[in-house]
Amino acid sequence: MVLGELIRGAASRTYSRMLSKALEPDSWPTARPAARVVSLDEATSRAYLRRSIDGLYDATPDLSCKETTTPDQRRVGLAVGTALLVLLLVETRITLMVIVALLTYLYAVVVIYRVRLFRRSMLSDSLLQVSDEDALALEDLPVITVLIPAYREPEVIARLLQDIRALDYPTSRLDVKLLIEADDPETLAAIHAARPPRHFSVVLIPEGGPRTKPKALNYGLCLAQGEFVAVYDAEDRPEPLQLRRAVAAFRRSAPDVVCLQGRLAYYNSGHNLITKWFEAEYLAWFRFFLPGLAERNVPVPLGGTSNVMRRTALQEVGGWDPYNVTEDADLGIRFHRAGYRTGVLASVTLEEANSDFVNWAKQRSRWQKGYLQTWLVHMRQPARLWRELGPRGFFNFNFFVGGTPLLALMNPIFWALTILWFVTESTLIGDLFPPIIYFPALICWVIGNAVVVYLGVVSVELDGQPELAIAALLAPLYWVMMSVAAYKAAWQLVRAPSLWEKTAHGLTANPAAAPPAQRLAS
Amino acid sequence: MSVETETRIPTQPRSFRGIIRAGELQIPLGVPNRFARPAALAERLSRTAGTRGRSALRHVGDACWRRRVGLSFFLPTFSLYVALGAFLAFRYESFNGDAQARLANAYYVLFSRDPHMGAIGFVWNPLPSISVMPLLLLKGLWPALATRAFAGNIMSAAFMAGSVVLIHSILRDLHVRRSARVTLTVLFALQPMIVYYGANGMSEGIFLFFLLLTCRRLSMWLGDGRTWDLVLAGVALAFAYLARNEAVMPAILAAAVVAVVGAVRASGTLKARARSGALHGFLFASPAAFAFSMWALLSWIIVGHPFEQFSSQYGTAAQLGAVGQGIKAGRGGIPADRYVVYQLLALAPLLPLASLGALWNSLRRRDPRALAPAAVLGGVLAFAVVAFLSGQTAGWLRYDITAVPLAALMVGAALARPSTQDRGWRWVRRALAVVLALAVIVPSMVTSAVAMTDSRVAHEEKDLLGYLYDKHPTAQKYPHRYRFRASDEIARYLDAKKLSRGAVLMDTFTPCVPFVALASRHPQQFVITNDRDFQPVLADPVTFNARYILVPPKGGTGDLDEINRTYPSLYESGAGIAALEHEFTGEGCPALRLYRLTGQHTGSPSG
Repeated sequence: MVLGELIRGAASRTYSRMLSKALEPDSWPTARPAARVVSLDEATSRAYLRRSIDGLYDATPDLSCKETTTPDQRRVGLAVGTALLVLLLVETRITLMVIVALLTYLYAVVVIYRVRLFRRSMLSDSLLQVSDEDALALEDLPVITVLIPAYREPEVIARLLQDIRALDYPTSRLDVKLLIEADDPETLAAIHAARPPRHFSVVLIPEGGPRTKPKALNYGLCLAQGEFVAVYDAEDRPEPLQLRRAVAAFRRSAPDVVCLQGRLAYYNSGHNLITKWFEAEYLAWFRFFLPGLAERNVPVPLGGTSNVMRRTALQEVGGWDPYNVTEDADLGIRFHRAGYRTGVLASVTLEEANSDFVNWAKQRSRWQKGYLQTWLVHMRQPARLWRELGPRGFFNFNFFVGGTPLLALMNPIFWALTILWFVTESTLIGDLFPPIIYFPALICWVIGNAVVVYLGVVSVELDGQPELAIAALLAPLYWVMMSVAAYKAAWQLVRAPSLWEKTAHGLTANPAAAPPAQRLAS
Repeated sequence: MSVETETRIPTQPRSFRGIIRAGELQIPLGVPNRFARPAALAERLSRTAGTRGRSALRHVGDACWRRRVGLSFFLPTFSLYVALGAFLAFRYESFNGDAQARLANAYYVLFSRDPHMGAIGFVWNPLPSISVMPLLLLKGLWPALATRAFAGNIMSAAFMAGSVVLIHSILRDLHVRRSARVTLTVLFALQPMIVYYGANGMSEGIFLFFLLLTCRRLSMWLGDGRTWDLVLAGVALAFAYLARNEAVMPAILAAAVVAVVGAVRASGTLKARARSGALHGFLFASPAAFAFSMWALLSWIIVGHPFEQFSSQYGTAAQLGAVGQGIKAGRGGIPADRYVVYQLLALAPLLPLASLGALWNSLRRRDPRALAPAAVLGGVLAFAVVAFLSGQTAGWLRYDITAVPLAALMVGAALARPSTQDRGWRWVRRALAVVLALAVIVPSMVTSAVAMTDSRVAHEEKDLLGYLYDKHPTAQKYPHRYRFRASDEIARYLDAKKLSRGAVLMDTFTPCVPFVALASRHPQQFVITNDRDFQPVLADPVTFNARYILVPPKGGTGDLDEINRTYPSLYESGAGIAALEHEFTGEGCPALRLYRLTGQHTGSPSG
């Protein structure tokens, strides 16, 4: 009987192999129908749109970024600002001293904390590892809905379809949704021209509300059926076994792990110095800091793409915040507030790094702005946040989400003070601050900066990419760029909080020459 | 696909915190912090982590045991060194001038008329001074910490005891069996040079400690290639540099070793290997390079010259001119090359033999770890020898002190067990190892002890210790013996005058003068070299309300005294600005003279 089953199984496998060969698009010379577009009736579409835009706000306005600050926050901000201004005018020296002392202390704490986090991730690999054999041996694969928002980027569509189809996952269990804005006929045309296979469908996002990626994702989520939802950007090149690894990792993890972040890297990192910096930064972030955070069970600001999530949990926490320009980081925090956890999966998705300064600055200032938005949103009720995240989670949230843009804002000020100290041979600063303040500040600053650069070089070595070492060493120049972006972000936060500055893709001349994603799977 | 009807649209996000944590984890995401019991932790981690995680876990698992073993070496040796230090400081009043001066630098930072970090001075690297500061803060409870420089003795005892612990750890990492390991560690701890420099407050202890820490982490890296160990080795080396200049040489030598090993271990093309080697070398050497450049930069900003420790009027080069002649004479006609060979033979007579044994055993076991002590400690030793032979240093015996731990570790490497299990003869093997260890190290203890009493090869040690066993100690033979009393007398003389702030101008580089500052109850009465206004006050003392000048006679280090350089005729005749108040003729100090300023305002204060 067993034998019979085996034979039958073998036969059916052969048959299905034949079938799949027959179904391969190239073997059918005749034209196949263009891409399938999901059509909804007017009322449903309107309901979904409303849900996508204001779902989170209607349910818990406190956690939505629709208003950047609440009246309470504005009042507190105003009061603190006024108090500071008055103190500065009345007791300039002492106030400045206290501020510098506090910032120095904070800076030292952040650097020490980062070193410890880094050390932890170095000593015990906290990435979730799934071997190729385990990934391939999986059975009863769940349905995964893959959401891919794209806006005005027809040039990447062909490549995207190729890379998503390269995913090793049964097409019958895969539901790929390309989320296209209704007013974007070029991209739609490109999709039709590429003739995607049957498990791909196009969702047209109706106009209205903020034109942001999270709104599109929410709309897609309304249509999602899979047990899991995966999110990729249009220019992503996920490692083929990624979804299988994610499923295996979910099955092994505790039920409260509802989100897995894949590791992001760049296929064009060798393009120029900016892309090398970018790659070195991502490496430290996704290989060491995020796994360290996940291991400590504190909020993990997600990386926006290459996320695989349990759909029900995602819907429970309200989906993405369409008004937040780093909806990914915000979502990671919300998961943790709800008592869920995030893991970091050892599987690489290759992206295109920004190789152009202006384009880079736009993207970076959006991220900085989003982090500030996220910080403001969750700090509306600090006591409640403390309760929900615990003291450790609370501090981590402040260090990583509030601290990242804040550090970039502070950086130039401290650099200026340090240079001033050296240039004027300490007299000017010496007059302003007593030695008990400026010496520790100077030492912290200089050593702290050196430590951060050094860790960058260490991470490059650990990841076996010595060719990035020079870039990692020149990181302070990159920080200057970050500061420029941070100031732009702070300005935008006031002027246009939800403006989404789209990053241009396809700047690297020949993405086809890039290495295949498998090589970097770790 | 009728998506529209089936999709669940949640009406309300679940209330936050409303979700109860899942109970027992099937597999944890990682190691929860509160997981304290190593065994349970190891078991739990071995389920999730790869080999790398498991090797990390072994460290955690052994932590408690290691701490206990470490303490059982630390406490006895520390007590021994502190007790001997107390004998030296209180019973025999044997003080080493350099130890005193380093302590005094820390003292100026905290208690001088002008307390500021810059007062730590740039003639010496800062770490020995910084390390005594916490103890000096307690001088209110126990004045002798400062007045007898005893804080320095405690510091050197602590770091030397730490070095003993590290010797034991390195030997364990090398797989030396316990009997031989303990024997070697105890012999090292009782080596006369180690005992003396653990007790006397000098910077050898702290320097050895950080060098051995570098050795330990570097040998761990050579063993299993874990980058974190390389990072720690580099940081320890940076601290070693901040303790003593001599760390520059091992930094270069060991970085070369690291680069070569890194390149050999890497895979890929020649270029990729070279790149990997360079990167590893950089990771190891850059903390020390950073410490080096930061210290130079600070020195440059504050005193106007980046390498004050080598080139200033007080630096090594200048001291060599003044003091070097004395040592040369003390050598008793032994030529330089034979002199240094004698010193090495005295400290570690069988070092070449032990090194050959280590080389043979390392090759046999294919274990590169013994390279770490060879490169780091050997580098310091090579630097000391070369620098002396090229006339850069005075050639004190203590410059070669790294030969002592190097010999212990080389013997250890020679005795390290083969990676396979012993087959029989265990007692014989064990006994043989102990006998070999004794045979190599015990002679060096005897020769070191003999050498330290011989002024031809150990000028300094003989000066400082000779009167402990000399039947007829005279002041001419042992001027150091009376140094404390003499400078204490000067301090009391000045204290009795109840002078105002900044009334006495003196250059603290001159022997005895730092002790005057340390022994005085009113350290604020002095204007000292490390004060930021020293130069203006020196140029125009009257305007700045200085009333007295303390000046040493010319000749020897007296020629380097800033006051003598500014007013060459002051000591003899008062240079027309001061009248002789008192000459201190106490044995052990130069014949310091106290001049009372008589002049009128010679100009307006500038600066």
